[in-house]
Amino acid sequence: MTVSAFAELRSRKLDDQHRLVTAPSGRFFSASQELQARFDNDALLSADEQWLEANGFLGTSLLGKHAERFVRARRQTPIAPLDYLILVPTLRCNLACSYCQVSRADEGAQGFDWNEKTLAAIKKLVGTLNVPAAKIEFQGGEPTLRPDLIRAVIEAAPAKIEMTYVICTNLQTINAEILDLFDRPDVQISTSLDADPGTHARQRQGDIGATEQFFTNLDWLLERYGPGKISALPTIDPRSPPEIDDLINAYASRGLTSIYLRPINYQGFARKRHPHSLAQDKSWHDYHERFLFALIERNWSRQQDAIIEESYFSHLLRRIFRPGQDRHVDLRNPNPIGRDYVVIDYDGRAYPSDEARMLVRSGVIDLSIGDVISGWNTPERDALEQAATSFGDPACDTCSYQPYCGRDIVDDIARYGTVDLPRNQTEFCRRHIHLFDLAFRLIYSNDEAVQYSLRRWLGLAGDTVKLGAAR
Amino acid sequence: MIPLALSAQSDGLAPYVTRLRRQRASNPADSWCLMSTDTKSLWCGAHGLVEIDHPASALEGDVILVNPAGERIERVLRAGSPHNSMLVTERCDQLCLMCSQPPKKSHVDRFDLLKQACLLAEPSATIGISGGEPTLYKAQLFDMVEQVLQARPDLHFHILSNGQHFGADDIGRLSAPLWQKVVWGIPVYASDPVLHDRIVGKAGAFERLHESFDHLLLSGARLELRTVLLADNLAGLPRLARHITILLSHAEQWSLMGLENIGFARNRWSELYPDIRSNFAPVGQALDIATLHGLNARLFNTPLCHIPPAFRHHAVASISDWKQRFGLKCEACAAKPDCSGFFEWHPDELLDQVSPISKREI
Amino acid sequence: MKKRRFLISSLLMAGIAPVRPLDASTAPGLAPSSAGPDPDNDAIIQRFAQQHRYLLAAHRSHSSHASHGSHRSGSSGIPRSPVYTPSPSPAPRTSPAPSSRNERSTPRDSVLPSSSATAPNSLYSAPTTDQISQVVRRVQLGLKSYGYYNGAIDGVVGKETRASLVRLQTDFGLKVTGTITPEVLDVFKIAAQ
Repeated sequence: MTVSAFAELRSRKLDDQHRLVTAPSGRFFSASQELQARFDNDALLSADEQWLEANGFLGTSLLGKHAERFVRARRQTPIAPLDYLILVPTLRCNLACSYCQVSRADEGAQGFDWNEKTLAAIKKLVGTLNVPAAKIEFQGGEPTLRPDLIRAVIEAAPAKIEMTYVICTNLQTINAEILDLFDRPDVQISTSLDADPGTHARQRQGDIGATEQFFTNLDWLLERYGPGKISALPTIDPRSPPEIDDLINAYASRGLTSIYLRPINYQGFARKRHPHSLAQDKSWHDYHERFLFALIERNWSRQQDAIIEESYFSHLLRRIFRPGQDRHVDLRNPNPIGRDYVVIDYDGRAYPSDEARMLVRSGVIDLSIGDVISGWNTPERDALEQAATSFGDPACDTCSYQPYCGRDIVDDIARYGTVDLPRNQTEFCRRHIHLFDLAFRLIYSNDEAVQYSLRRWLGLAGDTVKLGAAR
Repeated sequence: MIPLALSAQSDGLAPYVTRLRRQRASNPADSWCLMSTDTKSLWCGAHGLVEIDHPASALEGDVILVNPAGERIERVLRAGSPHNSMLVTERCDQLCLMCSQPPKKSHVDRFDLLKQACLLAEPSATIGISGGEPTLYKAQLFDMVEQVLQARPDLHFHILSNGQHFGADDIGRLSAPLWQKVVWGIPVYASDPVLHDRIVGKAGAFERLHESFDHLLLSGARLELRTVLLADNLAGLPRLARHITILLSHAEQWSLMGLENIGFARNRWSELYPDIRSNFAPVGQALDIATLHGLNARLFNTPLCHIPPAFRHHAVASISDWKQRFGLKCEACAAKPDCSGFFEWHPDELLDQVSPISKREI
Repeated sequence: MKKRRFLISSLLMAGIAPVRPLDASTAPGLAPSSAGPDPDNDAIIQRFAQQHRYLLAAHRSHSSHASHGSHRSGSSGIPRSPVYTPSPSPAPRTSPAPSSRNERSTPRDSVLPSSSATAPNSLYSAPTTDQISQVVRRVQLGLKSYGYYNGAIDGVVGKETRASLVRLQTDFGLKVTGTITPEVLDVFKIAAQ
C-alpha cells in the first residue's frame, strides 16, 4: 500500500519527535519519527497498515469505507429546523457598560421596543416552532424592562415542545413580576459577572452602587435556586484582563463551574489594522492558555471540589472527539445561516447572529437577512450562507484542524471589514490554531493533572482511557 | 412476578386475538367482562367466550392471544406496560452460550395473529419483537411491520435479531421512512471474530453480522447494539468499544447487559457470570471510550451498588416489572427506586451481595 | 426606517457574492461531492448522517457566545440524550401456573398455539361449576327454548351445543362462529352481572 492511499491524511508538527496526523473523519494519531520515515519512504509495514485499519484510518472492507464516509458526513452541520431563537424585546437598558455603549438605548427612550405588529409576528413565529425541544433566549438592552413581552412569548410556545427560556440580564433590578418569570422551572438566567467587584464596577463606569446591587441580587438568586439555574459569563477586555485567580474564585465560590472566556473585540473594524493588534491578540492567547493551566492545577489539587471548566475550550475538545457536536453556533462547519438559529431585533429585523445585530448599531455593516413579518428566506441569507463554510478555502482544505474547526464570517467582517482575507490573517483562524495546538499538546501530555482535567471536561468517569492514539 | 401466560377455558375453535375491556364496546376485536371473582374472570367477544384464571381488574386493557386447544391465554400486550414482547418464532440459527430463550426446531406461523394484536395496541406503544430469530421469516416479518405501521403510524417497534440475514436487497425496503419507527437490537459480543463466533455458537457469524451492519448503515436503519457481559468477553470490552466507535458509530445506543440466570445460562452460571463488583475496570474503560467518542452507552440489569459511583449515571433501571426482584438488604437502600434490581430467577445466594446506598451518596 | 450609511455599504463590499438563483436551494457549503468510486452510496450515507443526529441530539440545546449554553448537562458535558430501553428477553415459558416463581427447568411444552381446528377433549369431559359453565348453561337453556338444542344442560360446549349455535347464528343473520358471542348473549338477553 503506497502513501498515496493516504492522501487525505494531513499532518502537522506536534513536538520535536512527533507529528500529529488527522483524517477528515476527525480521527487522529501521533506519528513517531520511525513511522514518519516509513511513510516518507513508501515503506509501510503490514503491521502499520493493520494498525491504521484497526484505528479507523484505512477502510478496506465495505463497512469500513462506508463507516468512514458516515463519520465524515456527521462532522458537517446539517440544515435543521428552527430551534434556537434569540429575541431582543427592547434595546433600552438601565446600565451603560463600557463595552456595550453602541448597542443600547436609554431607559427612558421611545421607539426601542417591539411594536404591536412585531410582537404579533413573533408570537406567530414561536407558535409555528415544530421541533421536540427548543430554546429561546431574551437579550437586549435589558429584557427584564419588559417582562410582559417575555411572558407573551412564553405563552405563544406550543405546549408539546420542551422549551427552555434563557433570560440574559444584568440583574440590577428584581421585582415581583420578574421573580415570577425567574421562578419558572423552564427559565434559566444568564448574566455578566466580570470577575471581582472591582473589575465589574470599572466596566460599568465605576458605578460601585450598581455593582453592589448586582452582587446582592446574584447571591440572593444563587441562594434561592442553587447554581444550576444561573449561568454567568465574564466580559473581558483583552487589553487588561483580570487576575486569573480572582476570576476563577469569583465563579467557583458561587458554585458556578463553567467559565466562558470570550474575547471582546474592542477596536472594531473602524480602527483598521492597528499596529499593535497582532501583539494584543497574542497576549490574549497567552492569557487563555494560562487560564486553562490554572484550572488544570486547581482541579487536580482540589479533587474534592467541583470541576471547573472553561466552556469554549471544553466545547472545542468535544468537537475533536465527537462528530455532530454542532450546537455551539460560533464553531461549526458549514455554518448554516438563518436556519436552526436566528436573532430577531427590537425592530423585528432578523440577523444571522447576535454579533451581526450589533454591527448595525455601530454603523459597520447591515447584515440583516430579513424581518420577522416577511421572513428571512432571502438572497442576503443565501449569500451569507454560501460564504459560511471552510470547504473550498485553500488554507482550510489543507488544515489539519478542519474537521473540528468552524467558520465565523461575522467575526471576520467585524474585525477586518471583509471575509476575503487569507485565513491566517484573521484572528478567528489564529485563535483557533492556537487552541487546537494547545488541545493536542494537552491530549498527548503525560502530566496526570492535565489528563485528570481533560477526562473530566470530556465527561469521562474513570482515569484509564488514553485519549490519543500513537504509533 | 407478573404472569404472562394464564390457564383459560374457551369455547373458541382456533387461536384468536382479542382485547379485554371492562365495558361492552362496538369494536368486534374487543371482549368484555361478563363476570369476575377474585380468581377468575369471564369475557365475551366476537370469537366466543373465554374464562381466564385471573381476576378481571389485572387484565383489563390487555391484548391477549387465546389458545383454546392449549387451554391457555397469552397476554401479548399488557395494558400500561412498557415491556411488551412478542415471540414470532422459536427457531434460531445461532446457539448463544447464555441464550435465555433456547431455540426449538419447530415453527408455528402466527404472524397474522400477532399483526392483529399489534393493531390493537395502546396509542404510541413500543412493541417488542423477539424469538428465536425473527429474521428467519424476514419477508413475513417485514410485511407485518409495514402493514401495522401503515395502519398505526403512532406505534414503534423494537426488534431483536442476530443480524445474520440482512441482505443488500433489503436496503431499498428498509430505507423507507416508516422503518424509522423500528429499532433493531442486535448483539455483538467481541471485536475478536473467533470469540464472538464461539459465544454465539456459529462459525462465520461475526463476518456475516458485519455484512448486515453495512446493509443497515446504507439503509439508514436504527440500530441498538447489545452486549451481554460474560466472563469470557469482559477483558475485551475496551477493544470492542473502539471497534464500535470506528465501524458502528451509526448505532444510536450501546447496551451492556447483566447476565440473566435463565435458559442456557442456568446450567453454566458459574462459568459465564462475570463478577463486575471486583472487576469493573474493563466495563468502565469501555463506557469511557464510548463516552469519549459520543456513543451513547448504557448499563442494564446491573444493581447500582455493583457500579462505582462515577459510572452510575450509565445505569438504567431496566429489569421488566414482571421479572424484577430485590434482596432483603435492598429495603434499606436509598437508590432502590432507580435501581434495576435483580432478575426474578437470580441465584438466591447472590441476592445478598448488595451494599445499600445511603441517601447522602446519591 | 431611513436609509443609513454604513462603513461597508453592501455584502459584496465585504467579499460576499450573491448566489445565483439556481444555487439558492442547495445546502450551504457542503463538502464538494465525492469524487470517490461510489458516489451513490456516498449520497445515501450523507443523507443518513444528517437525519441520524436528530435521534441522538434531541435533548442537546444550542449555545452561542452570548449565553454559552445548556445548564442541564453541567460542566462534565454529559449529554442527556434519549435513552432507549431495550425490550427484555421473553418470558420464561413456564407451563401455565403463575405462582411457580421457582420454576427451574425450561418448560417442555411449546407455548405456541396449536392450529388444530377441533376443540380438544378436555372441554367435553369435566363439567365444572365455573363462571363459564354458568353462562353456557343459560345459553343452552335459551337454545333449548328456541328449539335449537335438545341435549343436556351441562354447561359444556359440546358438539351438539356448537351445532345449535351455528344454526342460531345462521338464522339470525349473525356472524357464524359456533361460539358464544355477544350477539348470542343479546338474543337470549343474557347481560353481564
